[in-house]
Amino acid sequence: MNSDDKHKQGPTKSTEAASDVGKIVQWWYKSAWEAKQRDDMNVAWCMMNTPQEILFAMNIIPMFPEQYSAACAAKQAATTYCDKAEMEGFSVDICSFCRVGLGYAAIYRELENLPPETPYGGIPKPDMFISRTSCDPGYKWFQALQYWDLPMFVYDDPTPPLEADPQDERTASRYINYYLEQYKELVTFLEKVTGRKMDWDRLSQILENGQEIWRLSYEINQLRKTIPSPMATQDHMAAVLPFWILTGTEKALDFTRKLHKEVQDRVNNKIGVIPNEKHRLLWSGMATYHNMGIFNYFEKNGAVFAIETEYLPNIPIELDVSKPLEALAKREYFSGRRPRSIPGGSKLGDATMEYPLELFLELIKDYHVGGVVMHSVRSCRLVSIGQLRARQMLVQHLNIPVMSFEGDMADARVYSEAETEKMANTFIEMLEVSKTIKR
Amino acid sequence: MVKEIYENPSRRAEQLKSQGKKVIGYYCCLSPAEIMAAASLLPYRIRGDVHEPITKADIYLETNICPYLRSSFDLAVKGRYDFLDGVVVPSSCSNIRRFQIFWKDNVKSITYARYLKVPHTLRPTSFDFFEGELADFKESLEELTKSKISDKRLNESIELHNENRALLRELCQLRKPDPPLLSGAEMLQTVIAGTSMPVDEANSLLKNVIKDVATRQNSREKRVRLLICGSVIDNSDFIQLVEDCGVNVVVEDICLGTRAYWHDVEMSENPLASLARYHLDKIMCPRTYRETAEERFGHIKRLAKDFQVDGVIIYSVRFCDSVELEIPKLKEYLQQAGLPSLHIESDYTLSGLGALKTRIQAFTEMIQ
Repeated sequence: MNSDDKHKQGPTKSTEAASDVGKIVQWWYKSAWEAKQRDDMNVAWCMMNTPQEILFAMNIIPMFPEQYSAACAAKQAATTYCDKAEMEGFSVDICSFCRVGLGYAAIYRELENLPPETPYGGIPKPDMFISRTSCDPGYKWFQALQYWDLPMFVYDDPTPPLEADPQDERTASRYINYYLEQYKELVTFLEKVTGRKMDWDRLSQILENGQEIWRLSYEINQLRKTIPSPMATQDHMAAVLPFWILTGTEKALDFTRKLHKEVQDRVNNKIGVIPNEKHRLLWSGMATYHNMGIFNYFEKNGAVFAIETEYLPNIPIELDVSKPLEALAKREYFSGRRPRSIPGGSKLGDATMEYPLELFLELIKDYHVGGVVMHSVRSCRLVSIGQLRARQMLVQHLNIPVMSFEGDMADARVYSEAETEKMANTFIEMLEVSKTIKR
Repeated sequence: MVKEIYENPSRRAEQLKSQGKKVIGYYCCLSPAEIMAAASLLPYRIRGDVHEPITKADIYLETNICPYLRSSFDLAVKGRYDFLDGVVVPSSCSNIRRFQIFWKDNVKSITYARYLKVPHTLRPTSFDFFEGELADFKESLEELTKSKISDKRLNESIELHNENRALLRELCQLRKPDPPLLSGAEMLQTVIAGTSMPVDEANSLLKNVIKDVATRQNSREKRVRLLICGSVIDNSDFIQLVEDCGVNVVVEDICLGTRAYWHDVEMSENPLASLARYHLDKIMCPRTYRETAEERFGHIKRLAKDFQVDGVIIYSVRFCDSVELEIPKLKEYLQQAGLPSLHIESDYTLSGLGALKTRIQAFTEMIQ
């Protein structure tokens, strides 16, 4: 089947590479189950942005319950686990990823076995926890699972004060040093609980791969500036797994190379995600993993998401991977997403909060965006706070149509498909009007 | 006297402001008031108002965040905090993160808005890092006031704040007798009043209150004794409501309760290191990671024993994730310690009073 035939099949044209992500997930989960069979202390439950390279280098398989919650949401299994967590006494307002994980673990504990019919065959009970304090559930979640009595390491995640110049040497050195010292503590912790030594050469190699993934993923996003849009936002969201979760593995590197080549080919051949690209949009907020059809709905109406505010790789920087922990600390400080005019280390969610105008302005201009869709995530404080402010700024300064809808990343109960589609219809009309006025 | 200050908390701050003193609003007991006071600024604890409907903040703030924070910001937008020159926002939780931006954008009087990163962990590196953050914070205040803060001056400020905490502990001890010598509502009003004035004045006020309470004719009745723990309670009406259900609230593990005054800052030649240690290690807020249940909840059990309580009310404000994620484990821990507990989730206002009273009365009858 040539690319044109495939194009005619449906409104969304996903890359072949993105369709490999399912296989990568299967390989990854299988690795975890095999590691679990071998002996103790091989599987860690981690929060996103844990320096997973350190774990890979020590033959520990990191599993990310946040990712698994998204997978459960996609398979419509999330609410079952949310219900269970709520029955256990956890508030319905708590992060839905977290509630899915709490419910999953509670059933696992009761049955002393996997919850029945769990998506993708489930993730194994961990041997240890690696938390991160990027948000409150980031460390309270695993703390609430201490009935398993497992070792836990909490990585503290500081973000420099807004008032501080991230390039200021004193600030940079304090923060980078704090990251570095914590990485050393993490290695000590892992060596102690596994009884194995860190393989520093392997860590350097993994970081080398990670650098290549960073560089290529950044380039892919640069290619997405092209009209017509060569890569769907769904593919970007699928690529979060190899780019950000399995960073440094050979599988992730192969995926990234393949995706890069495919997107480059599409750019060269002017192949777009949809046949007639009428509107280019920007997506802000987390995905509605329980209903990814929302993206198709826009695409059916000639609107494509050219870019997103979440999980965008910043401009790559050179790192000396022969000093791996130092390199990781430096990456931590400088890899976050900020507008180009304000380089520095800001993390997911912060950029939209701190510099909405600068960030959106940059993306809207570079990606030729005509409208913004904001997903206000009911159960996530981190990505929600500041969206109203950003919206006001966009309308005030750019006079660009903005659609803001309430939903959730995993809990389908707080999302109305009919209502969202109704809003989308009005929004698309506004895009047309806006285009006409600009003409 | 206390009630009057509690009901008009900004009066003294506005008076001092008119005399040229700068007033800095701060959130949370993780903000080091000692450093602000040492900079000759007046630290002023920011509160919400459970009786004031949120009408303006919703333009700026999403509704799925802490209603206490939304309420406090709503008041700011309405001009209730126009006497503040600055605001300090510690990184206590996901809700408050970057909250200073909203103040800076929307409250005209604010010329100084500072975010303070407070680690969530208690490893040696966390203390070193936080000491560095406090040094930057101190420096920013020096720039604001154009005046250096010496270690001597900082230690004097710490001493005054330690005295304040000691006096609050002394007052709290007067709740140990059965019946207690002062109510939970009175105690909370006293703590709050003290956060609205210079610390030396708060200390004088407290000395008078202690004298009055210690010598008053105790007209209170013996009743079920309760401990309240959980999220922020910055209005005595909730405590009053609980007490109106026929109980005595004798101690609180909340941020305007023992959490703010149960320990002192160690006096040392390195006051910033002492402050770092105090704020990270001694303030028992669930936002700081502590490993075992005993480390997390042991102090509640000890308070319960010291104050001979019959039961515990766990109070959580909606969207207060760090408290809400503790609740099942805390309930289990308290049960094992022989302490019955009742969880109340609140939207911060005093809505649904009837249902709330019925639940508290039923709980009280059960443990009597």
